[in-house]
Amino acid sequence: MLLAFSFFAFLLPEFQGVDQARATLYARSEEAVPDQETLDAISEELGLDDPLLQRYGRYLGDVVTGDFGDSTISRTPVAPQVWRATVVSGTIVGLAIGLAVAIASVLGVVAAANENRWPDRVITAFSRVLVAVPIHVLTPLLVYVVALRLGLVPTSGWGTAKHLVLPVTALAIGPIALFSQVVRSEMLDTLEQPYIRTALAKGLRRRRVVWLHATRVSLVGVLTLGSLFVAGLLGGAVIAEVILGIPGLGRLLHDAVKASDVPMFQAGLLVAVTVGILVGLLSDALSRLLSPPERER
Amino acid sequence: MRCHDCSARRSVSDEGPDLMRAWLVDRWLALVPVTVVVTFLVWWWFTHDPNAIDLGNRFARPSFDTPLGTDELGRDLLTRIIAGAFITIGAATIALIATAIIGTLLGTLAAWRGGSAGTALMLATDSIVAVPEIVVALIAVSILGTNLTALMVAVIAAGWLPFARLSFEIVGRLMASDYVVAAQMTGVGPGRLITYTLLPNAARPLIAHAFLRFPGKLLLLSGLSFLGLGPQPPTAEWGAMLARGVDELERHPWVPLMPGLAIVVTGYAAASVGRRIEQPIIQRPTN
Repeated sequence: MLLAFSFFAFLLPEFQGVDQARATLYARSEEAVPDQETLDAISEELGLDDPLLQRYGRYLGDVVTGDFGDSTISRTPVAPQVWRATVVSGTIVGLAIGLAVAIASVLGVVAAANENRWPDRVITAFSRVLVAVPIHVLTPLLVYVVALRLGLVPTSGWGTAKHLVLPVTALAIGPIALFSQVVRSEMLDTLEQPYIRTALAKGLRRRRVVWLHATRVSLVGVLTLGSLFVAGLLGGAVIAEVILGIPGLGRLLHDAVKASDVPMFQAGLLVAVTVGILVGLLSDALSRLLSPPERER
Repeated sequence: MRCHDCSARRSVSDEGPDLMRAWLVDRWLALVPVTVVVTFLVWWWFTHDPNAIDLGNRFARPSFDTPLGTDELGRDLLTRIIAGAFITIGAATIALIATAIIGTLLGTLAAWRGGSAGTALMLATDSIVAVPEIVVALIAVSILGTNLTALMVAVIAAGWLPFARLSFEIVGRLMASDYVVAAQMTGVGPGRLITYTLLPNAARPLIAHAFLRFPGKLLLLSGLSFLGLGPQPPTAEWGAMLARGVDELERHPWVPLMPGLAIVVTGYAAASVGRRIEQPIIQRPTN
């Protein structure tokens, strides 16, 4: 799968109609007045006239050894920039997932334990509204309230712990809304089970039973939905990073598309897709391990 | 528990039909203000130009002449929101329908052929599920450029997988059912089998799924447009309007607020409809 995608990424410039010889020339020298001779020389050097498969083989070799080429805009190697951006995005997305799972589990359990009473009503209503609030509406709102009005954190940028607050909150709210509903319905299912009734009949306190099972339910839930969450968060990270001026992978991709910086875009895509696929496989495997009915299938 | 009891009691008693009638009258009465509002909006839309610039009237507060205020070029926000509704909701709807058709066809074909085609599809869906839609859409935009058509193609390219997966599962189950086996044994051809037997039976869960997916399409579309990867100015697309308005958040909050609200309200409404349709089917979305 990854191989297929790397071939696609390699072919991207062909689809985009970018002349790689021209782009490379521009990447190397300021005076970008290309004459045919120089272009031919560069084509020769890059081997652009070789058969497609041979070029793909070379590209793949480069990528595996960590050479993603030079950016056609900043004229510097792509790999370290992509790596830095990935770390930044990874930090934000990781924190957001942690925060979302923690808060959503508590909210979901509280809602389920108080089914159809006011805590449940409030939590459900809030989460339904919040699910419909997209990140590009939410983030400016947060900037306005938290950064401009309250002045608690800087409006944009990266580097200190305070810079983490806005992106992590913006990214976490959507999953909190969604996941608390999942935990709620899973909890309700669980509370109907015979073994819960047995436990209650044996005289265990209801509160204790609820929280014991809540842990397992929310763990299984987050793992089965894990790949979806990561996909949603990475997607949201693109928009949040652009608005908040955070040098992450999402903004890197966005900038590369806008500037038609092909090597940068190729590298960013490969990283994003690889991460996506790995997370998908991992969460699949883990959820199979953790939940008995899945294992039997 | 209490709720089950009271609903049961209510349906047994004689006041059932009366309540029903009262409920219907309520609903029809609600149509009166809705009609008035819609008529007003249509009239407003016909008498105003969404791109008319009035530099003397920049950043006007919401008032009688400009009910939602004006933006940085003095353009009337109400007119632009209405024009944007056609663009944003229209594009999202068309993209959603195309996604549903493409995904369903692929899923149905894979399930009908079975074997390696099915395995390939499931492999593809399993591994791409965790790749953000927006990244897929970025690829499409990078190839096709920034305009409304490219944006719609991007949204379609990013969204067919869930439909393929769902239809694959449903049709796969149908293929094993007695009446499909019977149909095949009586010599019904593949084209007839798919159009008359498989698709009608798979339609309902797929349609419910489509409604549930609509907010996602709306958000993806307006999100990409927000990033400047969609239709270019002066197109009155909600996401693009929001992006331009965000700069004015501090001094003229209504400029970003109006398109933002439009996106949220539309998304919420579509999600509510989706929940309503989904309820009787008791089936959770597969991914």
